[in-house]
Amino acid sequence: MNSPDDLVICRCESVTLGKIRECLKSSAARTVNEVKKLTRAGMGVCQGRTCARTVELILEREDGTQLGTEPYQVRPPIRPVPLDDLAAGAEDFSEPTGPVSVVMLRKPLGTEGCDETHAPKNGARE
Amino acid sequence: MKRMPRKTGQENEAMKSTEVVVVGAGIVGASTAYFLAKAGLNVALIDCRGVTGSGGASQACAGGVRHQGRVPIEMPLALYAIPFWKILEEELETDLHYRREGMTIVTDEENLVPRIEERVANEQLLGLDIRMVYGEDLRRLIPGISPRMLAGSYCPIDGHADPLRTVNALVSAAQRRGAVVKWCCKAQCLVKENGRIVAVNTSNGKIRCSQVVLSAGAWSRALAATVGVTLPFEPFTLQMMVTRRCPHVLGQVLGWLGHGISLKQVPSGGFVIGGGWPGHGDLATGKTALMPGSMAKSAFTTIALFPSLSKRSVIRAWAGIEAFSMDEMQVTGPISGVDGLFIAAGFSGHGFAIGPGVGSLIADFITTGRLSELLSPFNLDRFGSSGTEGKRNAE
Repeated sequence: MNSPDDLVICRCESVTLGKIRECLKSSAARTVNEVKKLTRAGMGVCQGRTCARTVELILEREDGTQLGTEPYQVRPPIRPVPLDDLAAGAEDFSEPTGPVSVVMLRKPLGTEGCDETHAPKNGARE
Repeated sequence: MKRMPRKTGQENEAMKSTEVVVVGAGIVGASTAYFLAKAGLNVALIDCRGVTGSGGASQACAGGVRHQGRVPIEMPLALYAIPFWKILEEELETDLHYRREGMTIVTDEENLVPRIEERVANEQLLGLDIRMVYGEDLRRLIPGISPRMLAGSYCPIDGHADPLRTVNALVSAAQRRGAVVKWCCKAQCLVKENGRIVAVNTSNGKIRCSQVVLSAGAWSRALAATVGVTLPFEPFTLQMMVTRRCPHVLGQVLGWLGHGISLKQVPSGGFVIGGGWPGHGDLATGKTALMPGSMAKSAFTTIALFPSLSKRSVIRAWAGIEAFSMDEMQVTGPISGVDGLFIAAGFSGHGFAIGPGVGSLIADFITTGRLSELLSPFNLDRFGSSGTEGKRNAE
């Protein structure tokens, strides 16, 4: 491939071809998902819809990775969804009943005598 | 599949023996491998996944670095471990996006205010810089917080960092210091002879060693069982969301007592939303799937806490499997009857902030033989004799 290093591959996160090449040379990344996590290509607002195919081609041509080896992991939401749209259906879901920290009723180590039944154990989950 | 030969720091031939094998390259394993390599030991860090891991707790971590809200018995460890973050970026020569602008846990319920006040008083006694903030002061401290919030516990030295950058940086720094890192190398069983560890059997062959640090999160339980050690862990899948980049309006980490939310805005501009909401996960494959109800309820909670976010869009949700122990506290320590085995797992969703510090203490133990008092409350034998299903001492 003769394309220059400063060619922008992921425009959402401004990841250049040079950065992807460097990642392939200097790390153990072998799949598009690994390259994504090390370079941020595909982590921006379009979540790889624009650049995923290009990154796959780069892996094939620069690294010998066969196309289709491992696709970009696609997760919902498949396009950006405002928080209030997500929240609108909250009451309709019977599962889950609450966060893991509230559902678990065990008494934490060293809190004998400490009545934190209301609180998630350890306060807010990080 | 055709592949061109890779010239990286990773050894391609099977590794035969080393001093210490660290199983699991999450925050605890990567930290431990780094500090062991720094101390000059021969270390192999192995992980069944590829270079950026998937499915484990560290990759579904909200990145909070907090002292407050920890179980009191863990506060000394937190007060020791969290200051590591001040020097970590320089030590690892990488920007970890660490920010220390404070965390506030709030409540909108009058009858819960004394509960927070009591925790703050206890934490002050333990030496933490933390204070209560009420009403208008709270709104001035955190512009944008819901006006229904009445009071909160504000710790100015709490903060957050980027888990992905941090784990990657620890692994790279460990390699620069001489640690050998083996990806896609699945530990299958631990091997002991005459009551001491002699090797780890892996998918890439047997690695002979004299020490094993078992920091494989939810996968530690099965591995410990291969040498007759019972870890009272259950796997829970935790789910996260992130929004698209927004103008910076929030410097603190926010929590809301009794509600599942951990809200922060990261340096690149997105809001990272955690809070312990469950997803679906399969321990055997490491694969996770999202629970839509968690996304909806988490979104609902976020807007109730910080209303100006209602129109901000979520671009991604993801999940990872964490090991929760029976008392929601980690197991750290050597195991009597299995010399050379050190367990460091079961951090139950609160291992990230203390991970680097814990790794340093584990390295100290392995090099000196002396276990820090900071780790001793978390010994496995608090559950009853190791090797049997635990009786909880706290029951």
